[in-house]
Amino acid sequence: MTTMVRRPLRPCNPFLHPAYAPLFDDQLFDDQPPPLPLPPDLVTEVRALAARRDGAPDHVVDAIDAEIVGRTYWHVLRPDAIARAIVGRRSRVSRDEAVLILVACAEAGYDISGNGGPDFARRYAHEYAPIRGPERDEIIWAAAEHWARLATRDLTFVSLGDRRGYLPRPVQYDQPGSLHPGQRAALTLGPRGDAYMRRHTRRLLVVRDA
Amino acid sequence: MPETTAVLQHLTLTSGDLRPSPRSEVADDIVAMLRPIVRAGGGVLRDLRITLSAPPPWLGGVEYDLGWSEDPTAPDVRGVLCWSPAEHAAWWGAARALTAWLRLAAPAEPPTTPWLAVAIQPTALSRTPDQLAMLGDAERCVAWAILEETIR
Repeated sequence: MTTMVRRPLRPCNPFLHPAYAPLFDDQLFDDQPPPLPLPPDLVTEVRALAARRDGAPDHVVDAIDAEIVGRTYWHVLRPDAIARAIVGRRSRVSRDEAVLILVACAEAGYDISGNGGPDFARRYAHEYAPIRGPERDEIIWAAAEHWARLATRDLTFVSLGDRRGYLPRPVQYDQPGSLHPGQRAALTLGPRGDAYMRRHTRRLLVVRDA
Repeated sequence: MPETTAVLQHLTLTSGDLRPSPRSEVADDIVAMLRPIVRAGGGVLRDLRITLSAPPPWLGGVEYDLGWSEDPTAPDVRGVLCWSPAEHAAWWGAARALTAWLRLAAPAEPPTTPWLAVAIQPTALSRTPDQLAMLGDAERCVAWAILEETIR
């Protein structure tokens, strides 16, 4: 269904998924390393840290990962910033564009699996999702298509992140009447420009069912 | 210099998020519990440690830290509250200093007073999502408790 080139943004926030920390190591990539939306000097520091992970004992790796998280977390791409990178400042998007936005959010570490949508075959409830491999690709795209389709249904709004930018809330869906009063999402996709939902999200995108 | 309104401008320095927060967003009973604590310059409420930079009287603003750590020098969030337009520049300078080490782009200044500017600290990354979600409310509750102490 999607004819656009699949070029999702790459993760920049290992706090959302600590297993992302190795992705800061250039050596892991045969072709081009992922673009990191970080200041250049910070990229240098973080890559030096990542290089020290190789062959280090587990407790050292844990400490390095924590250090990487501490340095990079503050530069997280919120879901609304990811959406802006893909569709600019438009308030209406097609369903295919919504899929791309959701995939990019998932690539950045936001969890869009489960909660009624396609999910990974986890052995334990809190097991991390895989950060690469065919299952990851399959589930991320299936989940993105699921949520984009749901966002075109009347009164169903799909939200990601929190508007302050540091709470890795998994994907959720709400109707305006069922929303928690304190809920403030970073990005919400829905079937219409609802004023109430707009007050509860940093950015509301209306998804056309086409 | 910002004007004064009855709405707290709640700015998260680490992400640039600015949100007008009316007094109705915080519960009266929580503010009542917090007022003696802020009057004393700090204390603990429901395991959350509150540490003000100084007890009253305050000069148009005050800094405070919140956190679940027993160590008051390792808070989860640091904040600067300013309610005096005349003192805005000085307190805004203090707020900007909170995130100087992060090399982030400068956030927009709050358009009105009172405002609260907060910076999440690295220790917060080890907290649970529920604790992180609670921080935002706690920041506002403490701010309103201080504001109501100033107009006592």
